[in-house]
Amino acid sequence: MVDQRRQWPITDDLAALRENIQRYAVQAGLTGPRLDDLVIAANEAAINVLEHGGGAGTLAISCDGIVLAVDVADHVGVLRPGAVPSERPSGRGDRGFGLWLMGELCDSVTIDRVPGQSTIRLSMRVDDGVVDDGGAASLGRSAHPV
Amino acid sequence: MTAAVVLTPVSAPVADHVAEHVLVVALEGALDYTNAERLRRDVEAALGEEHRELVLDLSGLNFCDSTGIRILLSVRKLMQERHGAVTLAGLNARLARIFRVTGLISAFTVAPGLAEAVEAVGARSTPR
Repeated sequence: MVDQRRQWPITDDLAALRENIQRYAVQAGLTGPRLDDLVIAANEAAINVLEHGGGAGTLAISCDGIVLAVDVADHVGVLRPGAVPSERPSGRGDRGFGLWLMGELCDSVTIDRVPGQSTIRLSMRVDDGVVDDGGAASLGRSAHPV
Repeated sequence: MTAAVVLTPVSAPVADHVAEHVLVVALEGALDYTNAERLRRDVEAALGEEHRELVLDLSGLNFCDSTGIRILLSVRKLMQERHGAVTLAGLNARLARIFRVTGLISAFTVAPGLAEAVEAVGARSTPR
């Protein structure tokens, strides 16, 4: 069981960041499509920091055994709570597209803002019996093939 | 080390009547924010004036983010201006997922493997 919080700086070495996230998430029990979803979403959050969030920030990951949480913080604090669009933005290049994608991929996306820092939290349940959003919900609790 | 994506021209059995218009390249590595622009330039450099169809073998690509998709869409636009198209082959589960979630899978012709992709291009481009 993973419970310790790990943290890495967000740099342009996104490949290493993805590997770190993946390693932690696997140990926390995330597998298959949901593991892919988390890695894609966390990568999008990191891109947002590089592109719109001042170019520097931190990514922290933690798990309480039920929910795995990825906190992506910038040092700008422009991003506001409620900024996650529920519909796909038409422009693919804006920050809204990445945020929308995170919302599609994760169980929940929340944004906290204090002066000088916005933090996006991506949450994924890791406990058994989680309902997979890949259309397999009606199949019950069977493990999703990797 | 930052992510790297490598573009390699591939020789594939393209039907004779379209062969001169088809460029087949393989992408390997990870396509993301840090290297997507460079890949666009690499693709443009690999394209000859005669090429109207581009087949991308993605079986060696283990990751693609929204920036990578944006670049693939701009390459698609380039090929459409030439009255052609982009065909993607060999997407792994993670790639297929992001293309599906974003709804952009429908923007491309997608084939399970390179052989099927090349066949699709040949069938689409009837001799004139």
